Amino acid sequence: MKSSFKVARWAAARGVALVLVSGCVVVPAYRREHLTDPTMAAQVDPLEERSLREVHTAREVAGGGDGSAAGGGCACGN
Amino acid sequence: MRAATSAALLLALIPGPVGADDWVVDEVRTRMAFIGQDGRGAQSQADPIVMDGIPRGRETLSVFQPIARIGVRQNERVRHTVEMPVDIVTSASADALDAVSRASLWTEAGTLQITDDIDVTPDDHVQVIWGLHLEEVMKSGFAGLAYRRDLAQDNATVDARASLVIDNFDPITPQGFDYGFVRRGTILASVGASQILSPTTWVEGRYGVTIQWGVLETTWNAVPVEGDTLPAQELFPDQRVRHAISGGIAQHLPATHSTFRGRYRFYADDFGARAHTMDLDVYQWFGRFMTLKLSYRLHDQRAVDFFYDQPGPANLYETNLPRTADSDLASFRAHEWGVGVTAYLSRAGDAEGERSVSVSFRRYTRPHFDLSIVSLSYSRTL
Repeated sequence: MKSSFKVARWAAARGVALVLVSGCVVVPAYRREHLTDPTMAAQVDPLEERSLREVHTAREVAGGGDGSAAGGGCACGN
Repeated sequence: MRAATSAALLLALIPGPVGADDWVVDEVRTRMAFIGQDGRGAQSQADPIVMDGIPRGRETLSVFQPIARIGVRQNERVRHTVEMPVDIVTSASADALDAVSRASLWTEAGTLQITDDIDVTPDDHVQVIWGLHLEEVMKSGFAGLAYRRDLAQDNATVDARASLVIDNFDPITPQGFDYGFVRRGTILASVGASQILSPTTWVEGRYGVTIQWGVLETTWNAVPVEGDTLPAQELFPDQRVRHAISGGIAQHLPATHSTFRGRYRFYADDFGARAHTMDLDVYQWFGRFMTLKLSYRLHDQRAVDFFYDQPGPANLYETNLPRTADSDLASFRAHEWGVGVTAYLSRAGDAEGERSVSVSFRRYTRPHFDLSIVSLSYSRTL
């Protein structure tokens, strides 16, 4: 499990570094055509995301912690 | 809860900058899903057979899950969203008690969630979320507040959110005892950020913590013990702190009209559970009006510290030691794949807005357990 923590820390550090390096690039609104594609939306299908979150929260140990319901609002004690 | 509701209503009545409220319905979504589950777990006492040295009961159940979501724009600054998911579950908790009472042969659960989005300034956004959840043995209320700041000409966002959930439910032990209503509380807080990296790429990240207290176990789950004695009742510590950190990326490829989305999430809590979850979605356009979506999800979790993968001592039920044999809290690796097709009846910018119909299938598998989901959705957004 220690190696898993190392991989997680490495991935997080690389992700933060990538954002910091690229964050100074400003993409003007007129160049965001591809970002408005329905498949690039922050939530492509909010109802599917909600349903799947409930499916996973009720059947796995790892629900919640990131702002989504976990144990609360659900009779399951996971 | 009453104060939060009043605050939400007051915030929702903030007038827009110009003219009267419009109250235009700008979003309608419906989804119907059928979930079929089969498996065996030691927490269930239904028709048990010995597998891997422990009696495992059936976990078969079916769920019919209709959901509706309606968005209403009150004016230029205020928008409300109402979500109403309903779960109709068969044999939700089959156990020895059910053999007599058939209490969970047919169970309904419903949620009403209202989200109020307020644009305080062009770059500052406040969101109020509140609602309630009702099940046959449970009543739950929740309220939350979120703030988002848009930065660098909307190229980046930072946000913070917090919410409180209070559950009241009537636990029934595996032996059939009913101790009356008990309470569980949950506080969730998280911070997140998103960033556009290029005209075809964005990334996001989030860290959150969840603090829970009260009766945290499911209460009707059984823990097998040695000998012919009755199983012990599942028992959790009365406090739990959960952490999760996640990151995601979305990449559009204009040359092939494809989109790749990936997400990784790490989870840890003070029960000793750890989990890594990876999601990958690929969208492929066919013409302007149809997409194919292929999904894969890998979830690897380590059991909580007090998980029993073999029968516990015969006197376990007399102790207050934390214990569970719930297969959902075991160590396992789960695979999930899915396929979906979305047909766009009209695209954004058309007079009637964007309208689409989707059909999808997902399959989730792990040792001694599998689950299938079939869904049909319709959405219209202005």
